This record gives sequence, C-alpha cells and structure tokens, in this order.
Amino acid sequence: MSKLLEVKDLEVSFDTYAGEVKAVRGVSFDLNKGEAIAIVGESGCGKSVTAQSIMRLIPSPPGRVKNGTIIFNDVDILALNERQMQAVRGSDMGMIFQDPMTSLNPTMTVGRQIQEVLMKHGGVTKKQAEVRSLEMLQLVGIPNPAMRLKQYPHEYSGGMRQRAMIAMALACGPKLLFADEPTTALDVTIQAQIIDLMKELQKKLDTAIILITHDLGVVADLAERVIVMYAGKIVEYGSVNDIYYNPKHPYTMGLLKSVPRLDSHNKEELMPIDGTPPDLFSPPKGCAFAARCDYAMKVCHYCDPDYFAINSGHKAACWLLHEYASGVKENVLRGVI
Amino acid sequence: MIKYIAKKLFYAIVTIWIVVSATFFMMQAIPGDPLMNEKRVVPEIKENLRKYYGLDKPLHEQYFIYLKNLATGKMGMSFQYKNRTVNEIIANGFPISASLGMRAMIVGIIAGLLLGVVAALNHNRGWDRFSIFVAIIGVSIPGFVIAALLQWVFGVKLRWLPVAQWKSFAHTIMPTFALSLGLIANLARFMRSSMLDVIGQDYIKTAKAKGLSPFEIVWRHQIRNAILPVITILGPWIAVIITGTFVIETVFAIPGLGKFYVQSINMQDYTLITGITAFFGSILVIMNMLVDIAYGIIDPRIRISKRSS
Amino acid sequence: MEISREDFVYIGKNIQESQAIVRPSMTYLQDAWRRLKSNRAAFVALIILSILVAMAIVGPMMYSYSYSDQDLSMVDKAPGVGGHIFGTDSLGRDLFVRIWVGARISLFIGIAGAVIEFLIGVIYGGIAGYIGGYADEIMMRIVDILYTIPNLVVVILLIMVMGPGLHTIIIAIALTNWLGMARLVRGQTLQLREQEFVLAARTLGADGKRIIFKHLIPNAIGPIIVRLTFAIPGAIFTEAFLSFIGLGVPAPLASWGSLASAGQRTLTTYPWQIFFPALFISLAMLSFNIIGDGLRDALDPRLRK
Repeated sequence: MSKLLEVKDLEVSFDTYAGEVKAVRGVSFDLNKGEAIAIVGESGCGKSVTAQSIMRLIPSPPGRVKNGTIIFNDVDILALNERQMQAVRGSDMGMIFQDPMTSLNPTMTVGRQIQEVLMKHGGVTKKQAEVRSLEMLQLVGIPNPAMRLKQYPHEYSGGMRQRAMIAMALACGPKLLFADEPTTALDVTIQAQIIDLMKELQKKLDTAIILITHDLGVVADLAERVIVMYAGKIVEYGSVNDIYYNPKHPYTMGLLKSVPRLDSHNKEELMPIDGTPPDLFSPPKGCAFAARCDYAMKVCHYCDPDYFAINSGHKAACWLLHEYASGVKENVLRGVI
Repeated sequence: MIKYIAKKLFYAIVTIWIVVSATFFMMQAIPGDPLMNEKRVVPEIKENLRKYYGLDKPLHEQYFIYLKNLATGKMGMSFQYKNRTVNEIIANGFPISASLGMRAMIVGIIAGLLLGVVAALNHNRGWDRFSIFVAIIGVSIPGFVIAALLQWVFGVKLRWLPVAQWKSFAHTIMPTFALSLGLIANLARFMRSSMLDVIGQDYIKTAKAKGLSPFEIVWRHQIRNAILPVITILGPWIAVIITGTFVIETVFAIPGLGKFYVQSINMQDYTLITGITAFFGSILVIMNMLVDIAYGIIDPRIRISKRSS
Repeated sequence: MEISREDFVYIGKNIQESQAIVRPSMTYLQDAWRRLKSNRAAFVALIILSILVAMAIVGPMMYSYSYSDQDLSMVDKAPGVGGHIFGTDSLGRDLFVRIWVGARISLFIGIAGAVIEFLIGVIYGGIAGYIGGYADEIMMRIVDILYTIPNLVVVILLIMVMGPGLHTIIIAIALTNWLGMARLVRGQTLQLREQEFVLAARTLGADGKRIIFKHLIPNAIGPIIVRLTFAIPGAIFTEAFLSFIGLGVPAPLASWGSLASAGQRTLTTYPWQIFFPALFISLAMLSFNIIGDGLRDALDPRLRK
C-alpha cells in the first residue's frame, strides 16, 4: 500500500496575549491511500488543529506551524505557496466541519456552493457543473435533488446539510477527506446515517478519511486505525482492535470506560475521567496525563515517556510499558497499593 | 411574503396617520395664532381670513377637514407665501430636495461601502486607519459646519465651484458631498465591522477549504453576507438625509423643500409646517417600508422566518 | 535523563494539580480595563474631554465680562484685538467667554439628554423585557411605530409647542431618543433572562442578588454604557441642528451649536466666528465618539483574547 500522507514532528502554536499556547506538540503519523483513520481526544487536545494544519487553514497570526513536515501525495505541503495550496484544497483535500448549520453560506443556494468548487478545480462549464452537482446530491442520498439544488441551506434539515457538506467536499474527488466532528451537532439517529454514508463513499470513491472526533462510539464503524491524542500529543495509536480490546495507555482506557457500550454483558459502570486536561499555555514537564492518571508513578511527573511498541502497528507513550513498571498496574487494580 | 408586505403596509398607514394627526394637534397646541403677525389687517378682515382658512370651526371639525383635504391631496394655502398653496410649494420644492437626497444617498452608499470593504480587507493597516479617520470626522462635525467649510474653501477661496444655488452640475457637487459625508462615515464604519464579523464565520472557513482564492472568498462569500445587515441601517439613514437637506439647502440657498421648511418654522407658517411635516413623515414611513420589504426579498433567511412566524 | 527503578513507584492521580489554573485569570472589568488602557486614542480623547470640561467650568470666570455683555465699540473684532483672544461677535460680545458658556450649555444638554434617555429607556425596556409575553408585545409594537416617525420632525414639533428653551430642548431630545435605548435594554433583559448560564448559576445555588450582580449586569451593561456614550454627542448634535434652524437656546444664551450657526452666516467676512465654536464642538464630538468606540471594544466580552 502506498502512503498518501506523512506527518512528522508537527508542532503548532498560537500566540495569545498571555503567551504562546502549544496546541500541537510533536505529532507524527501516516495514512495510506483510501484508508480511514480516526483521531480521538477531548476538546482542546489539538486534533482539529492538526487537521487544519495539514490543510493549512490555521489562521495566522495568531497560529503558526513551528516545526515539522507534512508530505501529502509526495508533495511537501508546508513548502507550497498560498496559490499552489489553493489548488490542493477542495480538489485533493476536502473538509467537512462540525456544525453544518454555520458551515454553509446562508445566502447562496446549495447548488451554487457545490458548483463553485467544481468550477474552481474541475475545469468544467457551468452546465457540466450543474449536472455534476445534481449527481453529487444524489450520491449523498438527498431526495429530490433537482429541487434541493435551488434551495438555501436554511431550507435543509441538519442531517441534509451535513450531506450537502459531504457532497461539496467530495465533489472534485479528493484523495483525502477531513471530517472534523461531522456528527457532533447532529441528532443521534442521524449520526449513524452520516457515518454509514461516509463509509459507503469511502469505498466507492476510494477516498482516504481522517475522522476527528471525541466520540469513540462512531470510530469503530468507520476507521481502520485510531490515533488517541491528549494535550497536543499522540498518546497511543493502533488498529481499531488494538485500541478497543487491548488499550495500553490509561487515557485510552479511561476514554473507553466513559463510552456506553451495548455489547457489554457484565454491568460495567460508566467511569468518567476525573479532572481536566492541562492548559497548553504551560504544559507539564512530564506526562501530560499524569495528574489524572490512576496509575501515575513518580517518573511520570518529571519525564515525558517515549513510545513503546506493543506490536508492529500499535504504540503507546506510557511508562507503564517500561520493564521497570511491570506489576504496578496489576497491583493498583488488585488494590494492593 | 404577501402577508409580510401587507403587515408592513398596515404599520406604515398607521404610522402615517399618527404623524399626520400629531402634527395637526401639536400645531393647534402652539400658543398664538397664525394671523397674529398680521397687524395691519383690520379685525373684520381678520375674521374673514379666519373663515377662509377654516380657523373659526371647532377643533374636531378642523381635524376632519384637514384629514379629508390631505386624503384628496389638498393641503391649503400658505399663510406666508400669499397665493401659493402648500401643494404648489411641495410640488416645486420636492423634486429638487429629492434630487439632492438621491445624489447624496448614491454617493454615500457607494463611497461608504467601498471604504468599509477596503478598510476591512486591510485590517489595521493604512486604508483601515484612513477609513476610521473619515468615519470619525464624518460623525464629529455638524453638517452645517462642513457645508460652510466647503463653501468657504472651494467657493470663496479657491473659486473652483459655485458658492450657492442649484443650477448646473457644478452647483450640485458641494451640497451632495456635504450631505453624504455622514452617510459615508457611518456606512464605512458599519460595513467594516460587518465584514470583520463575517470573516470569523464558519462558512468562510468552508470557502477556504474549497480552495477558493482570497478574491473569490471576499467577493462571493464575505461581501454578500456582510452587506445584508448594512441594508437595515439605510432605512433610518433616509431620515437623516432628509433632515440633512433642511440644513444643506439653507446653507447653499437651494430652493428645495427643506429650505422652505426651515423658513416656515421661523415664520410660524402653520399650514406650511403641517403640510411639509406630514409630507416628510409620510415619505419617510414609505421609504422605511420599502427598505424593510427589500430586505425581506434580499435575505432568504428573513424571508423564510417571516413567512413562518 | 537517567531513569532508575526507584522512579517507578506508584503515586496515583492528583486531581487538584490537573485543575490548577496556570493562565492569569481576569475578571470582566479587569479585562475590559486592560483593553481600554491599551487604546491610546481613547486616552487622548479622555484628556481632551477633561480639558474641555475644566474650561467649561473656569473659562467663563477668566474674564471680567459676562457672556451677554455687549461692547458696541468692539464689534466683529478679530482674535487678539483688544484682549479678546477669540475675537468678538456682531454685538461686541467676547467669544472666548461665550464659547465656554456655550460649552456648559452643550455639555449639559448632552449629558442631561443622555441621562433622561437612559432612565426612560431602562424603565420601559426593562419592564417590557422582564414581564415578557403580551405586555412586551404591545409595548414593543408601540416602540416600533414611534420608531418610524422621524426623530427630528418630532423634536421640531415638540419645541414649537413648548417654546424654545434649554429644558424643552433636553426634554424633546430625550423624548425622541429613548426608543433605541428601550429596545436595547429590552433585548438585553430578554436575552439574559433566557440565557443558559443564568440557569446554570441558579442550579449551582447562586442566590438572586448574586445572579443579578455577577451575571446579569456585567453582561448587559456593556452595550448600554456604549450607547449612553454615543447618546451624549448625539444630543449635542441635535441641539446644534436645532440652533441652526432657529429653535436652539434663546439669545443671549449660547451653545456651541448656536455660536457655530451664528458664525456660519458671517463665514466669508468674519471666519473666526465659526472657526472656534466649530473647532470645539468637533473636538468634543470626536472625543466622545473615540471614547465610545474604545468602550465598545473594551466591554465586548466576545473580543476577549
């Protein structure tokens, strides 16, 4: 399988009146063509900033990419000028946002908003764009598309709007689609529909997807691999099976425990993760999760752990995986300590 | 939509009725008599004049006569300008005032919007500072001071433009500019902040993610959305422009309705004041209604929400 | 870094530490003050305004003549002639003294007009917003209709009925301008009443007083203060307009507006007679507007960064 995207040591900061906020602190991952990956974490963990940095949509100032490389489709994204970047956005990369309510231009018909991106990148005439936008609406499952094209976003329901957003993002057949919390603002019943639609289109169009979410529930349906982020860093990544059935980082375990699951036979209680993430205005010296971690050790508070490999595709940054820590977790669980 | 227009129309008619009635009763409440100044006239003739103007009848009868006359477009004789009906004065003066007002509106809207857009696009840089400067000057100097200043510099000192009167295009330049400056200033300021507001919206991010160029984003997405709230302040501005014509026409000796109005106030010419006030009030109410309706047509969101409410 | 086996000793979580607030925390007012302080233009405007107010107080006392003393041997004199630093008018009255008397009148009209407008607006709008429902509907319909009646026309009519004078001008201005304030206050009240953070505060057990002072007022007061700041120059402007059409403060009293409109008539022959009043009225307007802008930026919590 060939690589579509390779992110290395990405660091992004925002300059505020109080000082520098380090939103992303050294993120590296890669993505194959046509693959779906999920980035999971609490709000403020840097997952959206990571995605927006790849599309170079971080408002600057105050945001800036401090360090790192992003290779997309064999092109160094960070080396492109703004004009070249415009040719990439919308055609090779598409993005859908959290709130379909505010992400569509309220004063332009949905049809025109889709045709706009087609005419920008597709090199098509207005007539062709109209035909293609109709097909796109059909593709994303909007009934009566000919009429819907001429309507304004406020005439659509929430789920419809997100479908229209997807149609717009996929209109030019991008190689990579970012879905930034695509279901968060939607009703639960609609959420599954949207995820199903994305899964279907991923297969049909062979589009790679980066799904950004705080909801582990929607991840398993769509993604093949999962990246767990905490306080601007990746704390664990692996296949969906690795993350769901063999989580190694206490944060990942906490996330899983806080998600209700239908398939749990024993009456497991939902466990919230106590406390709040650190303010990235001054990140802690050691592991950022140490203060909230059930298994925190002395080392966690002053030294940030490196990645430990569990298997070829599964890594986690946690001192518990160090040989010296063997037994600590078990003892805590047994209540020995 | 029809319901929306009908509602607006109803409010407009009620408002015009209130304006007209208020004008009439307030005029009645003013101490003194329109014929007070006519000292040379013997009492008998005064009595006849009173009859002629209908001043001898009881108040409510006068009111109904007044309303009836208004409805049929007869607003009576001017006390001051003998042998001229209020209708004639309005018919002669209004086209000039309307022309001046329209020019000022057009110049003000174009210049104000342009300045606001340019300022927002150059946020915190030279053009932005310039537009803020113009905006602050425009709202800080009274219209008649600006008019007088222009008159003095370009008319008296430099002799580039005629000092007063309303005869050729050259005559219209200074009054138009003096009248539109306030509008330019306010629109520039409003458009600027509206533009800056829109730039933070999610759909601008969507437009960026679509790979549109900055020009396309500004033109198709930002300006379009930024201009809508600005249209709402145009209604009130029609009022400001109309009252502005009182001042500008007086300073530049333009024979428009505003100048007659100021004179009628100074001379306590009751029928003329009542007539012109009622006229101005109605024009304003109608203009406001048209702006409201236009806004409903332009903005699809308003159109729908009004329909459903 | 060298890691030893001893470092792998269990400590457990420390929730307090995780919730430590490292960013400097600021109250609403501190934050507003910080932003206002960094606005240099607003500070300069504040200084100019203070000077104007100080001169309005002491200015008229700096000369032996009063604002109405006529000296027919010193008619229309240029600035500096005969010790009149701003010159004299067509009746030989000293313009320096008249300008500072005018400042008193204009500023008084501005502030009094704004305060009355504020009071009417807060009471009317507050009641409408607080009661809500039908009362609100009717009260706001009335405002809607009154709103479409041209302001200055009403002012002119009111002054003609009541006769020109300082108090009638103030009343007329306040009576026409309160509508906007009422709408604003009503909107704020209504919005705040339904805002979720009020409910949140209530569920957290905050009592009524705390809700009002910690939540409602700081959040509602910003736009109202800003509007008040803009109401002052608005009233001064209206008075200038009224002076111009002959309905201003009656002679021999003077306001900046009446002085400027008198000066406008003699512009070509005695330009200083409009220059000085126009200068000060514009300076005052400029200052109020800049301060208003500064306050708006400072008090808008959305602009907090």
